Amino acid sequence: MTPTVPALRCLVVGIDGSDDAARALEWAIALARPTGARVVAVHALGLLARLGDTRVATGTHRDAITREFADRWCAALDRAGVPADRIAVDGPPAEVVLAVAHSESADLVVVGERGVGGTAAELGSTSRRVLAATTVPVLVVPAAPTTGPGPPP
Amino acid sequence: MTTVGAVLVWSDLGDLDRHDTGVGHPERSARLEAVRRGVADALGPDGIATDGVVRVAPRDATADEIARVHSTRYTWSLARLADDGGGDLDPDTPVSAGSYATAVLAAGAGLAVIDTLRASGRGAGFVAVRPPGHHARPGIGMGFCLLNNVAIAAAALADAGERVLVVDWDVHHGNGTQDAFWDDPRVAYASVHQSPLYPGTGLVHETGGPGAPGTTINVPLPAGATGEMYRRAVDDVLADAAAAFAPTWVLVSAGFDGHRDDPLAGHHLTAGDYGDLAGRIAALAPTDGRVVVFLEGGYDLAALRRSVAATVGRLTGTSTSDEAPSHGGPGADAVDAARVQHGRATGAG
Ligand SMILES: [Zn+2]
Repeated sequence: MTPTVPALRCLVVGIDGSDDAARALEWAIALARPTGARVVAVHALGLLARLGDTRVATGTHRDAITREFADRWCAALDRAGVPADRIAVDGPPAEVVLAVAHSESADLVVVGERGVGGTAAELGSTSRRVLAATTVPVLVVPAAPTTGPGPPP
Repeated sequence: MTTVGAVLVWSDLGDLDRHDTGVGHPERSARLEAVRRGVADALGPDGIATDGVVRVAPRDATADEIARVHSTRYTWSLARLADDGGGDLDPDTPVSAGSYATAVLAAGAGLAVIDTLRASGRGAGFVAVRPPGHHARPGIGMGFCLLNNVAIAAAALADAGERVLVVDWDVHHGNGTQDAFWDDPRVAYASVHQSPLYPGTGLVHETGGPGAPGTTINVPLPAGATGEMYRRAVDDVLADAAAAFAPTWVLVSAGFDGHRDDPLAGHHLTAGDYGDLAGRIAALAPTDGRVVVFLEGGYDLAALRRSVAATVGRLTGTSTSDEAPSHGGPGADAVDAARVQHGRATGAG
């Protein structure tokens, strides 16, 4: 029996400023180009955030963090020219990604295996928590490989 | 209505600096020294050595006491993470080798203070601990919090047959405490907080599960709100709800990060506002000796010291803050919305 693969109309990708998230975004763009899917980049606003080398409080640097997310962390979206949205939501990363995937009726969620601060340990991994609770397919982009394939060109 | 006692039951700070959050993290050990100085400011030169203070040594919370709130799977994983040298629960929430032991001691401090109050029946409790607790959910810690200190205390009281009102004036919504008692009619949870802000929960229509309708109360206030809006929230929303709920104990999640000098949020409270709130909320308890204040957030050390001094000064009746209460600003509509929400949900007002 041949499974039916639905069309990709909306991809939700978790963005936290980490290298892994940047690679997740590249994968989302690579999948969006041939399918025409819209990419929704999501950033979870925590209590603290990194702006460059500085740790700042989200509560008093909200606009700067949101700009950093939209303009720098998501710069690849502009270069790629795919249809895209950027959404910043207060809350823990896994819950925020899943909530936006639900509200946007996402067909696929793309996350990096590790993010800023988070460890690969069971308790610290956003990707594991997303996988544990998701109702849509999830693409987990492995942590910083030194070899192996990148996203398709 | 309680008469605010002259006795402060104070948990000794113990070894709560073993929770190492790393360089530059705002939730740091120096906060406890600021709290200690604030208590001393409130009580006079002898500080916590005065006759009016009963010092209580914290003890470890037992596995059973923690399991009333947290899944054993989470507690076990947290212990293992610390045993392995630590890691991060999320970008905000580091765990060091000493963090689990510290969190267990912080959770037990509240229980020890409550035991002392139960025996004496007078005074107010002040539990100065870190890490804070109110974001810690049953299945996972987050937002600087590992174990939910106030929830573990409330659950212990509820299992002893008490009706517990938890009032949370930290500027962030206490999502962990709300989750813990969402469907539990023995514990009411009332929070005044900034919204939108982390953790994104605490909207006005979040009022409790089917088994405990109306026992969760949220008053989300916009950025820029002053102490006047917190006072209105207590007077116009919480007071009626508390009267209907008839608590036998009142626990306070006292974060001081709504202070105008605090870097983590955008509310404009003063130390004097926290003194006001402490007095109003203590009055919701049925009798003396049934109010316990737990430290949650508060990250500007000078503001934390003044705010703790105002809170303790009001609870013990020993001093008043020279930082005047704040007035005006946005938020009156939000208080009205919460009043209407709970007029419907509880059948009161
Ligand atoms: Zn807080």
